[in-house]
Amino acid sequence: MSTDQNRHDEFFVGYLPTPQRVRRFAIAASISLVAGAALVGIVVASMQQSPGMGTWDTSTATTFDGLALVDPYAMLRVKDTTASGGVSTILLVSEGKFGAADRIRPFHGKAVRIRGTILRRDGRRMLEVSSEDNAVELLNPRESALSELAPAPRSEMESPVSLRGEMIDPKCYIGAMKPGGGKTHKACAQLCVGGGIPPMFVTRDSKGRESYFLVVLQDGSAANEAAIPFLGDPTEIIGELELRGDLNVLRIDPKKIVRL
Amino acid sequence: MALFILSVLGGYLAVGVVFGLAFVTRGIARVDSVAHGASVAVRALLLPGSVLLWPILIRMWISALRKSRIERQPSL
Amino acid sequence: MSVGYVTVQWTRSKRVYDFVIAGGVLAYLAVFFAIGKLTWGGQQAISDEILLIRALATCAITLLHIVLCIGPLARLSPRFLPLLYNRRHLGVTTFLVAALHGLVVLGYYHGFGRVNPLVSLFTNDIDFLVAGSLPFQILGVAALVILAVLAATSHDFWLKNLSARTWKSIHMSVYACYALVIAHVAFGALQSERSTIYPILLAVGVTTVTALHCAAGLKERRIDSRSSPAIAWVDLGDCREIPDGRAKSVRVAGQPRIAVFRSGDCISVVRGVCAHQGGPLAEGRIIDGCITCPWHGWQYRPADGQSPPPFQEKIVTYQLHNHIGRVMLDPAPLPPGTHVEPARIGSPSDVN
Repeated sequence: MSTDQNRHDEFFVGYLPTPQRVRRFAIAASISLVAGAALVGIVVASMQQSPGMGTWDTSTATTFDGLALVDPYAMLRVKDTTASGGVSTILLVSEGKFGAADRIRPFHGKAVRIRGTILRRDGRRMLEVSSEDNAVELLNPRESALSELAPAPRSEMESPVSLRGEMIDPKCYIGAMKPGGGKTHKACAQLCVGGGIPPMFVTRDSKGRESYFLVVLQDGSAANEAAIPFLGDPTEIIGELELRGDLNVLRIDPKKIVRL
Repeated sequence: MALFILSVLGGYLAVGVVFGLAFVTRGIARVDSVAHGASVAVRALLLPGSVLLWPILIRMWISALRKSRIERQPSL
Repeated sequence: MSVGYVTVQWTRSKRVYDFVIAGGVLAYLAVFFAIGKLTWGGQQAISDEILLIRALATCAITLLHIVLCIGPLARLSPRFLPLLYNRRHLGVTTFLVAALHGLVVLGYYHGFGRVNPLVSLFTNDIDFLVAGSLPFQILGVAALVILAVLAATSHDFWLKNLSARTWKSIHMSVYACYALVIAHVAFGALQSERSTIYPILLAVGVTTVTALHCAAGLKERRIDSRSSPAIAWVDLGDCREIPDGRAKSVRVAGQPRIAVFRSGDCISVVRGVCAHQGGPLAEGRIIDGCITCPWHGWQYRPADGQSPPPFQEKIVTYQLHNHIGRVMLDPAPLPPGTHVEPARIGSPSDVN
């Protein structure tokens, strides 16, 4: 009788010593809450999807010799025995969320040596040009065989296509942020592309392999402003595909982009 | 639009900070006699709320001042 | 109960409570980070900053769920009262974790660009016509602002000076905050992540919070349904069935709940709503001769509804009348703190 009464009279008052049974229940409840929360954490953390095979080695600076171009975007054409035609194109960007066109413009069409850090994903390379003054140097033209590096003819092949995928900011997508795409990254992508980083379109086939397309307007000029509203959203684009050397270029009409 | 939202928010908080500092140093004891002689730590803890709720507190402070004036001049 | 404000009225229970919160939060973040690193490594490693953003986000939303569940759990079973006792520290922790999430996002996603990060935060995602591009960041900011107001006004100074009623209504906006957080996740992270486990987890969370609130609400309604009409005198029934030192809740139409306390053979009646945060006094006990609220232990003398000196809180009392062994109540509330001679059960004489 008295123990039964005690059980009923065990009453928790924060500033008084906690009764035995109340304490035991509180400890059990706290442990289960913390354990439950940890379980949620384990499930959520382990079910994250892969951000892709992008890398960005920020610790080592790399130097490239090649032909600098800014039209439509800042890029460097370098000798590459593994690429078809022996030349590959490296997109150039600046530190932070900025393109490199202003920096490279004085060197347009000239042979240069550029220092920076390399980002890569699925064979696509991008160079973040170092902010140091001497990171871009003019080369003596004789040192390099300029003719080999000259841009590929404007269109080897042009065909109308309809592609489904995502408009991306390639700096983050290729390796600066992992993952660097999708809705949560949208605001960042808008800053990047708005800051001059060339917009790209990425498609994924049934096996998950990704293809990248450099996006330009119909007249071949930079498409940054046109691409901004669609970044990070699943979209369908009707455009023209143009193979320029190792670059897949997608010419778009902003009116023919549909959100899915 | 973004700038408009930010300037409204910024203005609100700026007024709040100025008012909040005055309130936690002088106002709270007027509004609530229990807060008389409260420690610096308590006042610091009440600062964020004073910054955020300044439109309400300004009214409370004014009515507290009025009440104390009436009490001091009972003949009027 | 205030004689002078202190930052926190520390008790052993609160220290243990805070220790569990801090330990739990740190353990959660560490576990999330470690599992994230183990799940994708090498070239497929997720950026540390993004892991941190996700760890803080999921930690804050888990805390918010716990905060919201403690209230109805304590209504359903008094055994959960120790968790309710210091819930405000859990709320402040939720705000701090969520604010940290917001700061890292602001720096990482909205920083390093051509515009001020704050401008970027309010500029992006303004296509309201497409569900996929709804502005989830703004929803998150709005939820964070609510959490900030709630955290900033959690001290008893605010409770007293804004009035318990205003304070309670401000703090009810935690439900608006919860809705905003759910929308923030649904239009944000859930648009990027492909695993179905995330929408399922979110649905489980929302269902749990809703179900517990409905269950607690139904219980309250059952108690309230036994109300007497507000006629001149209300028969309180056989008060000898109330265990010594405890109370029963009585409902009179058009009145807040009334608590009928028995202390020895004395019956006292007060409004069953604590002056502090509206705690259910009828579920309290008489400790050291005082009615003690089950929520935070605020105390009142049964005979006059006043907190023992030096405290100054008062609650409403009611006039009693002992009529041939039954205690009768005048449902007209007396001014808070009015002394009423307790009715004695077993003695048939009038007590007034």
